[in-house]
Amino acid sequence: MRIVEQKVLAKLVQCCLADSEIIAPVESEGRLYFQLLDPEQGLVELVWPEVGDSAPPEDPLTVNSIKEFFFPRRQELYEQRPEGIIPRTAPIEQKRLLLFARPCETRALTILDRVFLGETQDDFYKSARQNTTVVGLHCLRPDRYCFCTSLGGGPFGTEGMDLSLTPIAGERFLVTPVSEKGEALLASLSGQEAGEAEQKALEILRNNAEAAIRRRIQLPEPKTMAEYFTSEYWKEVSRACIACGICSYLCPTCHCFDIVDEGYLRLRCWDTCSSDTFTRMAAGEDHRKQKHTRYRQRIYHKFSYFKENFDTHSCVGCGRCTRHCPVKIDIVEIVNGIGGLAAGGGKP
Amino acid sequence: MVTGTIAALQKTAADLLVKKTVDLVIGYGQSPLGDIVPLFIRKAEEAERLQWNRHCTYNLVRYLTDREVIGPAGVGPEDRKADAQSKDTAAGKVAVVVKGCDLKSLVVLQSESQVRRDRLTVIGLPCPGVTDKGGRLLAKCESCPPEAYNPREGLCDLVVGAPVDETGGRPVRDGSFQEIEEIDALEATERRELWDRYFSRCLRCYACRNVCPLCYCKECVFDQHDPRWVSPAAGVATNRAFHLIRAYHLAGRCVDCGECERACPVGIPLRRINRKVAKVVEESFHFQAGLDPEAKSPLVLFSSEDPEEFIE
Repeated sequence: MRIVEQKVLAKLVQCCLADSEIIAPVESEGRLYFQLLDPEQGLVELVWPEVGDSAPPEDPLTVNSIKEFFFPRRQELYEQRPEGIIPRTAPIEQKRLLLFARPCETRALTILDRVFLGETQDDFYKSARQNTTVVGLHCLRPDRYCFCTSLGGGPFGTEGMDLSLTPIAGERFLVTPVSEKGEALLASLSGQEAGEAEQKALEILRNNAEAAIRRRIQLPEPKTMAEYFTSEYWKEVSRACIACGICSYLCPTCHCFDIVDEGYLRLRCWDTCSSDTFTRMAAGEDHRKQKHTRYRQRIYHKFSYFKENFDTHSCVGCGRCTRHCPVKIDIVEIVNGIGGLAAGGGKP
Repeated sequence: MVTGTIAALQKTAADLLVKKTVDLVIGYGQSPLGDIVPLFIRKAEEAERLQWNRHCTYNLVRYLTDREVIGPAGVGPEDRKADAQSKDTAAGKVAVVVKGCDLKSLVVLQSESQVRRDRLTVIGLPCPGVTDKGGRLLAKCESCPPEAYNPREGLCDLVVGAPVDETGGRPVRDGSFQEIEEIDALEATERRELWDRYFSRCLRCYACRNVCPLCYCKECVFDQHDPRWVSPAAGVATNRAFHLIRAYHLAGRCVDCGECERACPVGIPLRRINRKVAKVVEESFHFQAGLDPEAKSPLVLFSSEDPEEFIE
């Protein structure tokens, strides 16, 4: 672990701008978005984490997750011309530096890896992962929607990171390498090696951050999930749902897509199970016409099917789905509700 | 907003359910996390969960055309085929809680024969303006005309709470479209750049459309697969097409309830698009949507008085 001043890190990022793409949080009209930094503008747009008394009471999180830089919203695959097929998507060759990704998001990358780098490998995704160095940022002040600790993560988690940063007073960071890529990056960052005092300070920060997360998702047993599949419960809890795609599109682990044609162009774009066109078949048949069946699909995919197939839940507890839901549908409340019903002897 | 109003609202809702005037009340409740959420009540004893405060931003009129909420024989237009096919038996009458702005969208639904008003009980709440999470008055409230602070008599069945007669610190709307005129004054290329910057962020999540009380089409043009009119893949060109088509479909209908802009996760100022269209409709046809349930939008009528400047 090394103590690195913000200006030293800034200098490194500035240097990287010459030959790499930098993905980092940028502010626009009061909201943060992960965005490619404009090389012309340099670090002007980059939003640095704040600590100390003047810092906001909660860590400001980006609206979008980092998944769109590995699994783009719109990905042009190829053109189907009468004369033949012309490929449009080439694997990424440029080096990329992803800055200030939160532990929940970097952990989500390891979940997406299971989908896109499993038996069938997605060339684009693979190249994006290989060429991106992930510099993570620990959370000091999680907000009330966060629940990462009950899904195996934590505000000081390092899964999926190459290098982790913990912001400390005096515009400095405690920098810890997580992977070989991270070691290499750290070698180019000058700073004092951290001593026992810093280790202790880090421990306190970590304990405080973990204690600040009060939400717990209690995952029901697979058997209970199966029993409640046909329950009226789903109608009740999804009644207010407006069936938009915010929860899926902002989710760092949702990865469903559609293949569509735009003229000669064939492309892959995000799709969401909450949409009533998601399961529509060629002849017009649709087996998830009602919104409660679609909302249920989202929950079962995350907490039942994905677990069966990939041995992990496809949720990292970032809380984006609830934070940005236009009618504040609460995934934690709904999942915990199944267990509550079962414990109370409720009829499935 | 005094607690007296909440108590009166809860009592009103409980009475409606006890007397079987309605079998569903749509109002505001509070989630365990403390957020305001839409609340659907079918039992009188649940009425104590009803809430009313300055975070009650949602336009609940949206749910009146949602068959999965109101049931097949609810307040929506008669659809015998769907009614007969449906296994739900929750046929019934509905009460809905509205603010002045929400009421306007109900008026449009009435004028378009989308609700059976005789099966509906409208509970109006005088509104001092609603705020965002940070306690800031929503922009739509800043441009709300004072006559809409209180739900209009004759359009509501019941009004709960004392009328709001002060501005409550709100700037009184002068009926101007200043923010629209500022955009109009830009060069065409600047306008395009401005909007493309916003549209490039659009995720095509359709929250703006799905939260809109007036987007009630059973099958939206953007959901049609054969033919696929507009590609569902987010991209500046397709996003531009989506937002412009939606604006046209709301021409002469949008009442500026502001729900689209509130729901948008990426901060696209959607009200400005709809207000631009409202401005054109107002200037061309001297018509404002949402004031009279008997009035038809000028875009579905023909009059020999209509301006025809575009025909040379």
